Amino acid sequence: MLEIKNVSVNRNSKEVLNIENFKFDFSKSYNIYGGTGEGKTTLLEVLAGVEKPASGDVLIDDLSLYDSGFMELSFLRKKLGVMFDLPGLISNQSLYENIKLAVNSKGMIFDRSLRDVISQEYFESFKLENSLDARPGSLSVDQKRVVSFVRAIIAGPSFLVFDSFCDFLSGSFEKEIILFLRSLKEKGVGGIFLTKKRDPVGMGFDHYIELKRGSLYEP
Amino acid sequence: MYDYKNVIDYSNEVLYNIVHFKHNRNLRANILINQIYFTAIQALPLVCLISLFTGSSIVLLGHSLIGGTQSAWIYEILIASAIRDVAPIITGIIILLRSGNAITTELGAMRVEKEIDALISMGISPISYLVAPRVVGLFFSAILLGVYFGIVAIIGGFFASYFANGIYFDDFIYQLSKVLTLNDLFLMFLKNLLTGLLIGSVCTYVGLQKSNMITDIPQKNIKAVTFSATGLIILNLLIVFLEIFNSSIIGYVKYA
Repeated sequence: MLEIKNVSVNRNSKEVLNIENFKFDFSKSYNIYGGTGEGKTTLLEVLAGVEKPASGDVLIDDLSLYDSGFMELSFLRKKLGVMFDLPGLISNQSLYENIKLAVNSKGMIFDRSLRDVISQEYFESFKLENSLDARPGSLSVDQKRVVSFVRAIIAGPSFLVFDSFCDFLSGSFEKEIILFLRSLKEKGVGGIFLTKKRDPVGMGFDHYIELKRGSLYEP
Repeated sequence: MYDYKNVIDYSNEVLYNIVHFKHNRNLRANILINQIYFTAIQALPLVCLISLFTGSSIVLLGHSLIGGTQSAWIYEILIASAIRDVAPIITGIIILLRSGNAITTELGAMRVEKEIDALISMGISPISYLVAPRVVGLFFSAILLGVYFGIVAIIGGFFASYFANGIYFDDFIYQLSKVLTLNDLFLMFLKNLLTGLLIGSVCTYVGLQKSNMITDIPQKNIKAVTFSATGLIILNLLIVFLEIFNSSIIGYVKYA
Protein backbone atom coordinates (compact mmCIF):
# COMPACT_ATOMS: atom_id res chain seq x y z
CA MET A 1 0.00 0.00 0.00
CA LEU A 2 1.26 3.43 -0.99
CA GLU A 3 -0.16 6.28 1.06
CA ILE A 4 0.09 10.04 0.64
CA LYS A 5 -0.42 11.93 3.92
CA ASN A 6 -1.05 15.69 3.88
CA VAL A 7 1.66 16.34 1.32
CA SER A 8 2.35 19.86 0.17
CA VAL A 9 5.14 21.09 -2.10
CA ASN A 10 6.04 24.73 -2.64
CA ARG A 11 8.02 26.23 -5.50
CA ASN A 12 9.00 29.92 -5.47
CA SER A 13 6.66 30.47 -2.47
CA LYS A 14 3.74 29.04 -4.45
CA GLU A 15 2.01 25.80 -3.51
CA VAL A 16 2.24 23.40 -6.47
CA LEU A 17 1.03 20.24 -4.77
CA ASN A 18 -1.46 19.81 -1.94
CA ILE A 19 -2.82 16.33 -1.31
CA GLU A 20 -4.55 15.54 1.97
CA ASN A 21 -4.85 11.76 2.20
CA PHE A 22 -4.79 9.24 -0.58
CA LYS A 23 -4.18 5.49 -0.56
CA PHE A 24 -3.05 3.40 -3.52
CA ASP A 25 -3.41 -0.37 -3.46
CA PHE A 26 -0.31 -2.09 -4.94
CA SER A 27 -2.45 -4.49 -7.00
CA LYS A 28 -4.63 -1.81 -8.66
CA SER A 29 -3.89 0.44 -11.59
CA TYR A 30 -4.53 4.18 -11.30
CA ASN A 31 -4.68 6.70 -14.10
CA ILE A 32 -3.92 10.17 -12.71
CA TYR A 33 -4.63 12.70 -15.44
CA GLY A 34 -4.20 16.43 -15.63
CA GLY A 35 -3.07 19.12 -18.03
CA THR A 36 0.33 20.74 -18.26
CA GLY A 37 1.41 22.47 -15.04
CA GLU A 38 -1.15 20.70 -12.82
CA GLY A 39 1.62 18.99 -10.80
CA LYS A 40 2.05 15.53 -12.37
CA THR A 41 5.86 15.57 -12.45
CA THR A 42 6.05 17.04 -8.93
CA LEU A 43 3.71 14.28 -7.70
CA LEU A 44 5.93 11.64 -9.32
CA GLU A 45 9.06 13.19 -7.78
CA VAL A 46 7.44 13.10 -4.34
CA LEU A 47 6.34 9.46 -4.80
CA ALA A 48 9.77 8.43 -6.12
CA GLY A 49 11.50 9.92 -3.07
CA VAL A 50 13.33 12.51 -5.15
CA GLU A 51 11.64 15.68 -3.88
CA LYS A 52 11.03 16.01 -0.17
CA PRO A 53 7.68 17.74 0.42
CA ALA A 54 7.49 20.91 2.52
CA SER A 55 5.12 19.03 4.82
CA GLY A 56 3.48 15.62 5.01
CA ASP A 57 4.83 12.22 4.13
CA VAL A 58 4.59 9.27 1.76
CA LEU A 59 4.20 5.85 3.36
CA ILE A 60 5.06 2.57 1.67
CA ASP A 61 3.63 -0.37 3.61
CA ASP A 62 3.30 1.98 6.62
CA LEU A 63 6.98 2.99 6.53
CA SER A 64 7.86 6.62 5.90
CA LEU A 65 9.68 7.35 2.65
CA TYR A 66 11.15 10.56 4.02
CA ASP A 67 11.83 9.78 7.68
CA SER A 68 13.46 6.39 7.35
CA GLY A 69 17.09 5.46 7.81
CA PHE A 70 19.33 4.89 4.80
CA MET A 71 18.86 1.10 4.68
CA GLU A 72 15.08 1.29 5.11
CA LEU A 73 14.91 4.01 2.51
CA SER A 74 16.81 1.94 -0.05
CA PHE A 75 14.53 -1.01 0.71
CA LEU A 76 11.38 1.11 0.28
CA ARG A 77 12.53 2.66 -2.99
CA LYS A 78 13.21 -0.77 -4.41
CA LYS A 79 9.50 -1.60 -4.08
CA LEU A 80 8.70 0.97 -6.74
CA GLY A 81 9.43 0.82 -10.46
CA VAL A 82 9.72 4.44 -11.48
CA MET A 83 9.82 6.03 -14.94
CA PHE A 84 10.33 9.77 -15.27
CA ASP A 85 9.24 11.99 -18.16
CA LEU A 86 12.83 11.69 -19.47
CA PRO A 87 14.45 8.25 -19.86
CA GLY A 88 17.20 9.04 -17.28
CA LEU A 89 19.59 6.38 -18.58
CA ILE A 90 23.16 6.80 -17.32
CA SER A 91 24.76 8.16 -20.47
CA ASN A 92 28.29 6.85 -19.98
CA GLN A 93 27.16 3.27 -19.34
CA SER A 94 25.97 0.67 -21.84
CA LEU A 95 22.32 -0.42 -21.90
CA TYR A 96 23.32 -3.69 -20.22
CA GLU A 97 25.13 -1.83 -17.42
CA ASN A 98 22.17 0.51 -16.98
CA ILE A 99 19.84 -2.40 -16.41
CA LYS A 100 22.40 -4.31 -14.34
CA LEU A 101 22.53 -1.32 -12.00
CA ALA A 102 18.79 -1.65 -11.27
CA VAL A 103 19.07 -5.43 -10.85
CA ASN A 104 22.08 -5.17 -8.50
CA SER A 105 20.52 -2.39 -6.44
CA LYS A 106 17.54 -4.63 -5.76
CA GLY A 107 19.69 -7.70 -5.10
CA MET A 108 17.93 -9.74 -7.81
CA ILE A 109 19.46 -13.05 -8.88
CA PHE A 110 18.36 -14.87 -12.04
CA ASP A 111 18.85 -18.55 -12.86
CA ARG A 112 20.35 -17.56 -16.24
CA SER A 113 22.89 -14.95 -17.14
CA LEU A 114 21.52 -11.41 -16.91
CA ARG A 115 22.50 -10.78 -20.53
CA ASP A 116 20.28 -13.67 -21.67
CA VAL A 117 17.37 -12.52 -19.50
CA ILE A 118 17.52 -8.94 -20.83
CA SER A 119 18.05 -10.02 -24.40
CA GLN A 120 15.50 -12.86 -24.64
CA GLU A 121 12.75 -11.76 -22.27
CA TYR A 122 12.75 -8.03 -22.90
CA PHE A 123 14.92 -6.63 -25.68
CA GLU A 124 13.80 -9.13 -28.32
CA SER A 125 10.25 -7.75 -28.16
CA PHE A 126 11.60 -4.27 -28.88
CA LYS A 127 14.15 -5.35 -31.53
CA LEU A 128 17.00 -4.25 -29.28
CA GLU A 129 18.59 -7.66 -28.66
CA ASN A 130 21.78 -6.67 -30.51
CA SER A 131 22.13 -3.35 -28.70
CA LEU A 132 23.02 -4.57 -25.21
CA ASP A 133 26.48 -2.99 -25.38
CA ALA A 134 25.36 0.22 -27.09
CA ARG A 135 25.41 3.52 -25.23
CA PRO A 136 22.09 5.39 -24.71
CA GLY A 137 23.34 8.19 -26.98
CA SER A 138 23.10 5.92 -30.04
CA LEU A 139 19.38 5.19 -29.51
CA SER A 140 16.24 7.01 -30.59
CA VAL A 141 14.02 8.64 -27.95
CA ASP A 142 11.50 5.77 -28.20
CA GLN A 143 14.24 3.18 -27.74
CA LYS A 144 15.64 5.03 -24.72
CA ARG A 145 12.17 5.09 -23.15
CA VAL A 146 11.82 1.36 -23.75
CA VAL A 147 15.16 0.67 -22.03
CA SER A 148 14.05 2.90 -19.16
CA PHE A 149 10.81 0.87 -19.02
CA VAL A 150 12.77 -2.42 -18.89
CA ARG A 151 14.98 -0.97 -16.14
CA ALA A 152 11.87 -0.05 -14.12
CA ILE A 153 10.21 -3.48 -14.37
CA ILE A 154 13.04 -6.03 -14.59
CA ALA A 155 13.80 -6.27 -10.87
CA GLY A 156 10.23 -7.17 -9.90
CA PRO A 157 8.80 -3.99 -8.36
CA SER A 158 5.61 -4.20 -6.30
CA PHE A 159 4.15 -1.03 -7.80
CA LEU A 160 4.86 1.12 -10.87
CA VAL A 161 4.90 4.91 -11.01
CA PHE A 162 5.15 6.21 -14.59
CA ASP A 163 5.19 9.83 -15.72
CA SER A 164 4.18 11.07 -19.21
CA PHE A 165 2.67 7.70 -19.97
CA CYS A 166 0.85 8.88 -23.10
CA ASP A 167 4.09 10.25 -24.60
CA PHE A 168 5.67 6.91 -23.85
CA LEU A 169 2.84 4.98 -25.52
CA SER A 170 2.74 7.24 -28.56
CA GLY A 171 6.10 5.75 -29.57
CA SER A 172 6.74 2.74 -31.81
CA PHE A 173 6.23 0.02 -29.20
CA GLU A 174 2.70 0.67 -27.89
CA LYS A 175 1.42 -2.90 -28.31
CA GLU A 176 4.49 -4.54 -26.75
CA ILE A 177 4.42 -2.22 -23.72
CA ILE A 178 0.70 -2.78 -23.14
CA LEU A 179 1.32 -6.56 -23.28
CA PHE A 180 4.09 -6.27 -20.66
CA LEU A 181 1.88 -4.14 -18.42
CA ARG A 182 -1.04 -6.57 -18.71
CA SER A 183 1.16 -9.49 -17.76
CA LEU A 184 2.43 -7.52 -14.76
CA LYS A 185 -1.15 -6.70 -13.77
CA GLU A 186 -1.98 -10.42 -13.86
CA LYS A 187 0.90 -10.96 -11.42
CA GLY A 188 -0.65 -8.39 -9.07
CA VAL A 189 1.60 -5.45 -9.94
CA GLY A 190 -0.42 -2.28 -10.26
CA GLY A 191 0.72 1.26 -10.68
CA ILE A 192 0.12 4.95 -11.05
CA PHE A 193 0.16 6.14 -14.66
CA LEU A 194 0.29 9.89 -15.09
CA THR A 195 -1.19 11.18 -18.34
CA LYS A 196 -2.36 14.48 -19.76
CA LYS A 197 -5.76 13.06 -20.78
CA ARG A 198 -7.94 10.37 -19.25
CA ASP A 199 -6.84 6.91 -20.50
CA PRO A 200 -5.52 8.15 -23.86
CA VAL A 201 -5.14 4.71 -25.50
CA GLY A 202 -8.10 2.93 -23.88
CA MET A 203 -5.94 0.65 -21.69
CA GLY A 204 -8.61 0.33 -19.01
CA PHE A 205 -7.44 1.29 -15.52
CA ASP A 206 -9.04 0.31 -12.19
CA HIS A 207 -9.29 3.91 -10.99
CA TYR A 208 -9.26 7.32 -12.62
CA ILE A 209 -8.14 10.33 -10.61
CA GLU A 210 -7.97 13.90 -11.80
CA LEU A 211 -5.06 16.11 -10.79
CA LYS A 212 -6.12 19.73 -10.78
CA ARG A 213 -4.05 22.63 -9.45
CA GLY A 214 -1.95 20.23 -7.38
CA SER A 215 -4.85 18.34 -5.74
CA LEU A 216 -6.31 14.91 -6.48
CA TYR A 217 -10.03 14.42 -7.21
CA GLU A 218 -11.63 11.03 -7.69
CA PRO A 219 -14.77 11.43 -9.84
CA MET B 1 16.68 14.75 -1.62
CA TYR B 2 20.36 15.31 -2.20
CA ASP B 3 19.69 19.05 -2.32
CA TYR B 4 21.90 19.73 0.66
CA LYS B 5 21.32 22.97 2.49
CA ASN B 6 25.04 23.53 3.01
CA VAL B 7 28.33 22.21 1.78
CA ILE B 8 29.28 20.99 5.30
CA ASP B 9 26.43 18.39 5.44
CA TYR B 10 27.30 17.38 1.93
CA SER B 11 31.03 17.06 2.68
CA ASN B 12 30.20 14.89 5.71
CA GLU B 13 28.38 12.41 3.49
CA VAL B 14 31.14 12.51 0.88
CA LEU B 15 33.76 11.83 3.57
CA TYR B 16 31.64 9.02 5.01
CA ASN B 17 31.49 7.43 1.55
CA ILE B 18 35.24 7.87 1.04
CA VAL B 19 36.03 6.30 4.42
CA HIS B 20 33.73 3.36 3.56
CA PHE B 21 35.09 3.21 0.04
CA LYS B 22 35.87 -0.51 0.16
CA HIS B 23 32.27 -1.35 1.11
CA ASN B 24 30.75 0.67 -1.70
CA ARG B 25 28.83 -1.93 -3.74
CA ASN B 26 27.90 0.57 -6.41
CA LEU B 27 31.44 1.67 -7.03
CA ARG B 28 32.83 1.15 -10.49
CA ALA B 29 36.61 1.02 -10.68
CA ASN B 30 36.57 2.45 -14.20
CA ILE B 31 35.07 5.76 -12.97
CA LEU B 32 37.99 6.11 -10.53
CA ILE B 33 40.60 5.06 -13.11
CA ASN B 34 39.13 7.37 -15.79
CA GLN B 35 39.14 10.26 -13.31
CA ILE B 36 42.81 9.72 -12.43
CA TYR B 37 43.69 9.26 -16.12
CA PHE B 38 41.86 12.44 -17.15
CA THR B 39 43.08 14.56 -14.24
CA ALA B 40 46.60 13.32 -13.59
CA ILE B 41 47.83 11.72 -16.85
CA GLN B 42 46.22 13.86 -19.55
CA ALA B 43 47.16 17.05 -17.69
CA LEU B 44 50.80 15.96 -17.48
CA PRO B 45 52.15 17.90 -20.53
CA LEU B 46 50.49 21.12 -19.35
CA VAL B 47 51.73 20.70 -15.76
CA CYS B 48 55.25 19.85 -16.99
CA LEU B 49 55.36 22.94 -19.19
CA ILE B 50 54.12 25.28 -16.44
CA SER B 51 56.38 23.77 -13.77
CA LEU B 52 59.45 23.84 -16.07
CA PHE B 53 58.91 27.55 -16.71
CA THR B 54 58.11 28.22 -13.02
CA GLY B 55 61.26 26.46 -11.76
CA SER B 56 63.60 28.02 -14.32
CA SER B 57 62.16 31.54 -14.10
CA ILE B 58 62.37 31.54 -10.29
CA VAL B 59 66.06 30.61 -10.41
CA LEU B 60 66.78 33.19 -13.16
CA LEU B 61 64.86 35.87 -11.29
CA GLY B 62 66.65 34.96 -8.05
CA HIS B 63 69.97 35.06 -9.86
CA SER B 64 69.31 38.53 -11.28
CA LEU B 65 67.96 39.91 -7.97
CA ILE B 66 70.35 38.35 -5.47
CA GLY B 67 73.53 38.55 -7.50
CA GLY B 68 76.25 36.62 -9.24
CA THR B 69 76.73 33.78 -6.79
CA GLN B 70 74.06 31.15 -6.32
CA SER B 71 72.78 32.06 -2.86
CA ALA B 72 71.02 29.59 -0.55
CA TRP B 73 68.03 31.91 -0.79
CA ILE B 74 67.41 30.78 -4.35
CA TYR B 75 67.03 27.18 -3.14
CA GLU B 76 64.70 28.31 -0.35
CA ILE B 77 62.56 30.20 -2.85
CA LEU B 78 62.61 27.27 -5.29
CA ILE B 79 61.37 24.90 -2.58
CA ALA B 80 58.68 27.35 -1.46
CA SER B 81 57.44 27.81 -5.01
CA ALA B 82 58.02 24.41 -6.61
CA ILE B 83 57.14 22.20 -3.67
CA ARG B 84 55.55 23.80 -0.66
CA ASP B 85 53.50 26.94 -1.25
CA VAL B 86 52.92 27.96 -4.87
CA ALA B 87 52.81 24.51 -6.52
CA PRO B 88 49.62 23.32 -4.74
CA ILE B 89 47.84 26.52 -5.83
CA ILE B 90 48.96 26.20 -9.47
CA THR B 91 48.12 22.46 -9.66
CA GLY B 92 44.82 23.24 -7.89
CA ILE B 93 43.92 25.83 -10.53
CA ILE B 94 44.84 23.40 -13.35
CA ILE B 95 42.69 20.68 -11.74
CA LEU B 96 39.83 23.12 -11.21
CA LEU B 97 39.84 24.43 -14.77
CA ARG B 98 40.18 21.03 -16.43
CA SER B 99 38.57 18.40 -14.22
CA GLY B 100 36.51 20.41 -11.73
CA ASN B 101 34.70 22.18 -14.53
CA ALA B 102 34.18 18.92 -16.43
CA ILE B 103 32.73 17.25 -13.31
CA THR B 104 30.29 20.11 -12.68
CA THR B 105 29.15 20.04 -16.31
CA GLU B 106 28.76 16.26 -16.33
CA LEU B 107 26.77 16.12 -13.08
CA GLY B 108 24.73 19.18 -14.11
CA ALA B 109 23.78 17.50 -17.39
CA MET B 110 22.94 14.27 -15.52
CA ARG B 111 20.68 16.30 -13.23
CA VAL B 112 18.84 17.90 -16.16
CA GLU B 113 18.48 14.54 -17.96
CA LYS B 114 17.03 13.02 -14.73
CA GLU B 115 19.83 10.46 -14.50
CA ILE B 116 20.40 11.48 -10.87
CA ASP B 117 16.67 11.17 -10.10
CA ALA B 118 16.66 7.72 -11.70
CA LEU B 119 19.57 6.61 -9.47
CA ILE B 120 17.82 7.92 -6.33
CA SER B 121 14.57 6.19 -7.28
CA MET B 122 16.47 2.89 -7.65
CA GLY B 123 17.81 3.28 -4.10
CA ILE B 124 21.35 4.13 -5.27
CA SER B 125 23.05 7.06 -3.57
CA PRO B 126 24.53 9.44 -6.17
CA ILE B 127 27.13 10.33 -3.55
CA SER B 128 28.45 6.77 -3.37
CA TYR B 129 27.99 6.00 -7.07
CA LEU B 130 29.05 9.25 -8.75
CA VAL B 131 30.67 11.59 -6.24
CA ALA B 132 32.94 9.39 -4.10
CA PRO B 133 34.98 7.92 -7.01
CA ARG B 134 35.40 11.38 -8.56
CA VAL B 135 36.53 12.99 -5.29
CA VAL B 136 38.91 10.11 -4.52
CA GLY B 137 40.23 10.35 -8.10
CA LEU B 138 40.80 14.08 -7.69
CA PHE B 139 42.75 13.84 -4.48
CA PHE B 140 45.01 11.07 -5.80
CA SER B 141 45.49 13.13 -8.97
CA ALA B 142 46.24 16.30 -6.99
CA ILE B 143 49.01 14.48 -5.09
CA LEU B 144 50.43 13.01 -8.33
CA LEU B 145 50.34 16.39 -10.07
CA GLY B 146 52.01 18.02 -7.05
CA VAL B 147 54.83 15.45 -7.25
CA TYR B 148 55.24 15.97 -11.05
CA PHE B 149 55.21 19.70 -10.57
CA GLY B 150 57.92 19.57 -7.91
CA ILE B 151 60.20 17.25 -9.89
CA VAL B 152 59.90 19.13 -13.21
CA ALA B 153 60.23 22.56 -11.54
CA ILE B 154 63.45 21.39 -9.85
CA ILE B 155 64.74 20.15 -13.24
CA GLY B 156 63.83 23.56 -14.73
CA GLY B 157 65.61 25.26 -11.83
CA PHE B 158 68.72 23.14 -12.43
CA PHE B 159 68.87 24.06 -16.16
CA ALA B 160 68.55 27.74 -15.28
CA SER B 161 71.30 27.41 -12.62
CA TYR B 162 73.55 25.59 -15.06
CA PHE B 163 73.17 28.19 -17.83
CA ALA B 164 73.22 31.22 -15.54
CA ASN B 165 75.85 30.14 -13.00
CA GLY B 166 77.42 27.01 -14.45
CA ILE B 167 76.32 24.92 -11.45
CA TYR B 168 76.50 21.14 -11.98
CA PHE B 169 73.68 18.76 -11.16
CA ASP B 170 75.29 17.10 -8.10
CA ASP B 171 76.13 20.47 -6.57
CA PHE B 172 72.62 21.75 -7.31
CA ILE B 173 71.00 18.72 -5.67
CA TYR B 174 73.37 18.94 -2.69
CA GLN B 175 72.49 22.61 -2.11
CA LEU B 176 68.81 21.87 -2.53
CA SER B 177 68.88 18.93 -0.11
CA LYS B 178 70.44 21.17 2.55
CA VAL B 179 67.34 23.39 2.64
CA LEU B 180 64.66 20.81 1.84
CA THR B 181 63.04 19.46 5.02
CA LEU B 182 60.53 16.70 5.72
CA ASN B 183 58.17 19.43 6.82
CA ASP B 184 58.20 20.85 3.24
CA LEU B 185 57.29 17.46 1.78
CA PHE B 186 54.59 16.90 4.40
CA LEU B 187 53.07 20.30 3.65
CA MET B 188 53.16 19.59 -0.08
CA PHE B 189 51.23 16.33 0.36
CA LEU B 190 48.80 17.87 2.83
CA LYS B 191 48.04 20.90 0.64
CA ASN B 192 47.62 18.83 -2.52
CA LEU B 193 45.40 16.31 -0.76
CA LEU B 194 43.18 19.04 0.70
CA THR B 195 43.13 20.83 -2.68
CA GLY B 196 41.83 17.68 -4.40
CA LEU B 197 39.21 17.16 -1.67
CA LEU B 198 38.10 20.79 -1.79
CA ILE B 199 37.75 21.00 -5.57
CA GLY B 200 36.09 17.56 -5.74
CA SER B 201 33.55 18.39 -3.02
CA VAL B 202 32.67 21.89 -4.27
CA CYS B 203 32.39 20.95 -7.97
CA THR B 204 30.26 17.86 -7.31
CA TYR B 205 28.09 19.77 -4.79
CA VAL B 206 27.36 22.54 -7.28
CA GLY B 207 26.85 20.05 -10.15
CA LEU B 208 24.30 18.03 -8.15
CA GLN B 209 22.14 21.03 -7.22
CA LYS B 210 18.61 20.70 -8.56
CA SER B 211 17.97 22.24 -11.96
CA ASN B 212 15.71 21.50 -14.90
CA MET B 213 17.30 23.62 -17.58
CA ILE B 214 20.40 23.06 -19.65
CA THR B 215 21.09 26.82 -19.41
CA ASP B 216 21.74 26.38 -15.67
CA ILE B 217 24.92 24.41 -16.39
CA PRO B 218 27.16 27.38 -17.36
CA GLN B 219 25.91 29.19 -14.23
CA LYS B 220 26.86 26.15 -12.18
CA ASN B 221 30.33 26.16 -13.75
CA ILE B 222 30.86 29.80 -12.83
CA LYS B 223 29.73 29.08 -9.27
CA ALA B 224 31.97 26.00 -8.97
CA VAL B 225 35.06 27.84 -10.23
CA THR B 226 34.42 30.91 -8.05
CA PHE B 227 33.77 28.92 -4.86
CA SER B 228 36.65 26.50 -5.46
CA ALA B 229 39.18 29.23 -6.30
CA THR B 230 38.15 31.24 -3.22
CA GLY B 231 38.29 28.09 -1.11
CA LEU B 232 41.72 27.26 -2.48
CA ILE B 233 43.14 30.64 -1.50
CA ILE B 234 41.51 30.51 1.96
CA LEU B 235 42.78 26.96 2.50
CA ASN B 236 46.36 27.95 1.63
CA LEU B 237 46.15 31.06 3.81
CA LEU B 238 44.89 28.98 6.73
CA ILE B 239 47.77 26.53 6.37
CA VAL B 240 50.28 29.40 6.17
CA PHE B 241 48.77 30.90 9.36
CA LEU B 242 49.00 27.50 11.04
CA GLU B 243 52.64 27.21 9.95
CA ILE B 244 53.41 30.66 11.39
CA PHE B 245 51.51 29.87 14.59
CA ASN B 246 53.30 26.53 14.89
CA SER B 247 56.78 28.02 14.36
CA SER B 248 56.02 30.83 16.85
CA ILE B 249 55.03 28.27 19.48
CA ILE B 250 58.18 26.23 18.80
CA GLY B 251 60.28 29.43 18.92
CA TYR B 252 58.65 30.46 22.20
CA VAL B 253 59.21 27.01 23.75
CA LYS B 254 62.87 27.07 22.66
CA TYR B 255 63.26 30.58 24.05
CA ALA B 256 61.56 29.67 27.33
